[in-house]
Amino acid sequence: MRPRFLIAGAGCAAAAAWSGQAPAAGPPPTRFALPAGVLRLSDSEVPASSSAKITFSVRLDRAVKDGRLALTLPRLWIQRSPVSGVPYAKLPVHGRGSSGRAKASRAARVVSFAFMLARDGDSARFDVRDNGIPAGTYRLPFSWREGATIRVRGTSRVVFYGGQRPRLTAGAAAPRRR
Amino acid sequence: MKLARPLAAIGTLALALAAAAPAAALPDDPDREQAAGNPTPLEQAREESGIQDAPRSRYDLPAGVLRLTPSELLAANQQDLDFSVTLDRDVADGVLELTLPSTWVGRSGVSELRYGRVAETGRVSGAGVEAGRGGRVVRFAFSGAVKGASGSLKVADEGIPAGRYELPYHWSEAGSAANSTEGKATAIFYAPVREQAEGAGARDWRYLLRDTNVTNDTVTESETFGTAVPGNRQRFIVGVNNNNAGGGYNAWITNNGGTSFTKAPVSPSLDAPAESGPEAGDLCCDPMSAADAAGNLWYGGVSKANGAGNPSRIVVTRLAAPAGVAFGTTVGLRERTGTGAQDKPMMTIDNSPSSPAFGRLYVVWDEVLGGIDIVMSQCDTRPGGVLNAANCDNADNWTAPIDVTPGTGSYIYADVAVGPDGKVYVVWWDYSATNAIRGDACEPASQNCASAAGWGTPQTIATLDATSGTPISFACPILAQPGGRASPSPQVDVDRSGGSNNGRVYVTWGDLRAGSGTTKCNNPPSNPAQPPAATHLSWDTFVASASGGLPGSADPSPSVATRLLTDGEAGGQANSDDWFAWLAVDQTNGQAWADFYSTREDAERKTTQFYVRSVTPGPGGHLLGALRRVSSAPSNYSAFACCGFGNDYGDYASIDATQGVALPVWSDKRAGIAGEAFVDTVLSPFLAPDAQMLDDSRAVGGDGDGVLERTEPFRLTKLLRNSGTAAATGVTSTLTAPATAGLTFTQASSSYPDIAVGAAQGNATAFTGSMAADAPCGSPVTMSLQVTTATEPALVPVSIPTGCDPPTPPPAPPMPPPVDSSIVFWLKGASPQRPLRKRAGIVVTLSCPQASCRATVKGTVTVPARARRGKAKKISLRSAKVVLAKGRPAKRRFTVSKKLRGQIMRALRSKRTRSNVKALMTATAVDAAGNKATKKLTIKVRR
Repeated sequence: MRPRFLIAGAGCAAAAAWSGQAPAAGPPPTRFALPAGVLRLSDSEVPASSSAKITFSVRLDRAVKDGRLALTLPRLWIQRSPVSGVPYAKLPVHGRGSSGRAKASRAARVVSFAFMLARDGDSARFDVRDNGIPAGTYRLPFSWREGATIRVRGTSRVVFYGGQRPRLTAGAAAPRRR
Repeated sequence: MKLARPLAAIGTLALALAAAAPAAALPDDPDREQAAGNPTPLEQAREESGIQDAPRSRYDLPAGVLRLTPSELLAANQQDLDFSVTLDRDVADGVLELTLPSTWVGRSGVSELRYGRVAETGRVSGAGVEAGRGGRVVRFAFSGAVKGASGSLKVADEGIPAGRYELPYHWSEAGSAANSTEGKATAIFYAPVREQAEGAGARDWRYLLRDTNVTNDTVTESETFGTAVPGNRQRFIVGVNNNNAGGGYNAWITNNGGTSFTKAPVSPSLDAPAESGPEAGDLCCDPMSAADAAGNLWYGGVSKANGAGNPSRIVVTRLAAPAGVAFGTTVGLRERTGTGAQDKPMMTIDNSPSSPAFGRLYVVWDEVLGGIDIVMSQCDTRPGGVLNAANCDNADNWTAPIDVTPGTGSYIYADVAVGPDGKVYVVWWDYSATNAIRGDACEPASQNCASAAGWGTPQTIATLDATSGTPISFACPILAQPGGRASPSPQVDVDRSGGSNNGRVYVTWGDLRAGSGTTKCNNPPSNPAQPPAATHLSWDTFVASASGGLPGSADPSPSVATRLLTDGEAGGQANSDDWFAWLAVDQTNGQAWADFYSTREDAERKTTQFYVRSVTPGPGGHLLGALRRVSSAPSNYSAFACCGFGNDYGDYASIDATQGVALPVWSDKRAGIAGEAFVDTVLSPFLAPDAQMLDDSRAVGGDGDGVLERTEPFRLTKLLRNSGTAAATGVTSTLTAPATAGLTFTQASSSYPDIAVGAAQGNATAFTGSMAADAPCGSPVTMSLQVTTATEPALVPVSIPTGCDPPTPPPAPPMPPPVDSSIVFWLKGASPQRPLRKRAGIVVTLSCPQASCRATVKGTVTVPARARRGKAKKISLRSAKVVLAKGRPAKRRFTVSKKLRGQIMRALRSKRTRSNVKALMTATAVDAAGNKATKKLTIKVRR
């Protein structure tokens, strides 16, 4: 029997199982309502150093003439380890938009999801690939602005669980069939 | 058994093993009575030692005799040694003082057990005799004692190390400096020979643990760990992870060197901190252990969270000294995470009596709650300085865990070790993008190691492979361990042996080898599993060491460390997985040992064997001993489930070493067994420096003062003593000196004869060289003798004194003994004489009293001038030749011619000149050998 935490995309459950701990107050939210749509995180809990990909996406539920979500990444995520020189995460400069009206891009720590003359249903997404982000809890503040006015501020959280090497049951350790 | 080569070549090296005494001169020894049959243990030991000159047991004193009875003993045989002084004449006031070796009156730094029990007062016979001891000095005092009086004092051996001991003594008598004397008495404690005589039927202990299945059951055990009691290789523990397979959490203990093991279960009922009742633990895994010299053995592991009120804890329990085989209370250490997990513990104990934290147990582990901290808890087994191991059987006496790492991160595999000064070292794997082996240290002498503030900034020991820009995966399924647990698994140990590497910190770990494959193990749990592949980079194992601190730097493993196995070495596969290195320092001699799994014998990298080799710090890295495979069959987990953290071999292997024996412990899944814990014993030679002779005599062109000076040549003989557990064979050596020392060698290498256990041998060819004219001088220069044997290498320091004065010119060759070229020869004659009387002449007597000779006699008569200022006349007499028989004098008369008579007469008549007429007689004698003697005689002449 394959352990549950190995199932692809198991997300929170996988991370918690990996770390050998149950989330004390439930997992951090992965969905944040915006005045014109929603910000989603593909996972708010991942095993540390598992090459996990976290996708941040914004989808509109109404038309927006000039809107922008700014998400600030933890400083560490854009750095390299001073010891090894290896980057903690693999971060693209550009994300993907569903049309020319929606764009995602990164400047230093700030990921911007920009919507110009966008329609209901337009979306943009940005992927962060873990490359050894140290285990811990990270806060990612965001703000939604339409025109010159900030409408909403908030903070998302992502937990990178340190690994405990899970103990298998006797059955799981049995030789696989060939 | 081959006898050691005689050390006659060592010449005057009396300090060591020279001056062979004939066997007949051996001291009285009851064992010798059996010489006709099998050799006695003492004879066996003596033969093994290679020592051929038995020490004297009797030393003459000006007023009696000093005796050592016996003067050669078997070490660890608990024999008594008597010193006695017996007078052979009356003594008014005399004292003999004898100085014992410091070891004999000291205690083991490891076990605190005394080496010998030396009486404070001795026995006496006769009036006026006292015998006693103060410190190391044994004193026999005689005051008004009469002939036959005696005193004696006993030394009871309780573990005096094998070796040759010299005991200086000094005899003095009041008011009689002439009757003072001093010398050195010698006693030899031979290392016992453990081989039984052939046919004796006894079991040979060396083979009891040859590739032995300790657990030997139907349960699949892995992740083995073992610890031996320091200084007692008979008692050790083997722990395992039983993979939650049921049957509880257990360990196996032996008190007889592995002849038998006792399975001991650990109680899952935990004594939890500050709780009145026990907790219900769920013990599973991660075995760890430690031991003190008294024989207490601590064992522990992980208790998983087990429902409400039973959090995950690290647990510790104890087998009581000296030989307990049943665990006592299971102690659950404090935890501070509530729902978090406690994982991967390791423990150690400070066994250094000189440490400020002597007896302190340390446990490190990682505390998981999102981010991870490496934490530590500690407990004193010697509260107040008194051994009370039970103090740590109480959970309340363990400190709360404190952070060793600054803040949370991705840390795992903490290990802890303590140096001789009590300094605590912790290492771990940072598997974040930092991708490194790191560590930190704390000095209890000046820091509070039970406080996070006592721990500073981590130090990087090595950075790990980052092929394709990614760190080593937390999970790494490989063909031989498909569960994914192969990892860098760092480990630390410190040399506390008191030897030349005392305080050296060793760290071992694993790393992937860049370029050894085209893919890389990676198994993110949220992605599809990546099964192992033959194309994956392969694992290598590394060791780094440094004196007094953590080794390494933020450089890749190959730059800061030595590979424990080079792929392809000794006929192995060109690309093998070698992982789970562990290292232990034998604290009884300072030899480090490492072991690891390797697929080097399987081209498919699926099956493993287990290997052991010695590690010796050397120039530019480490000298590695022969690669020893201790498993006798391949182990195969390759068919087990991939990628789910199946235990397979677990998360680490283990080794311990003491008393010259290494004890590797490993997991083995060879054909036909379930997966068991195996152990082996590895015996080895251990070569240590012994006596040396620096020859700078005239024979080699030096001045013979024993100090090497500029421009002076030298010859060096260096003895190596084998204090290990196996004979050293195939011994070769090369002597090197620092470039700054200004030494040039003309003969820098030499072989050695085979060196038996306990024996010492000198180099077959003397090292020769000279000191440069501009070499630094005045202080000893330390050279390095790099020794290779068929198994273990050694690096032996060799120090020789240097001086700044130019070598004293060799004294002029001694003159040949003067040849007595003179002969005894007499020339005598009366004075004055009256040669002018009738036929009187001048008469002389000649004699050669010791040998016959021939003599020639000449005479001259001086006649003053008649004129006041005239010149005197010298008139020769006719010479004569005389043959003289030995001891028979002969007279010769020299007559005066008429002419001369007239001249003499005239001079004698003159009042002014009469007293100045003289005859000078000269005689030269020659003996048969040609020796000559000349004598002169002046005779006054009268009328």
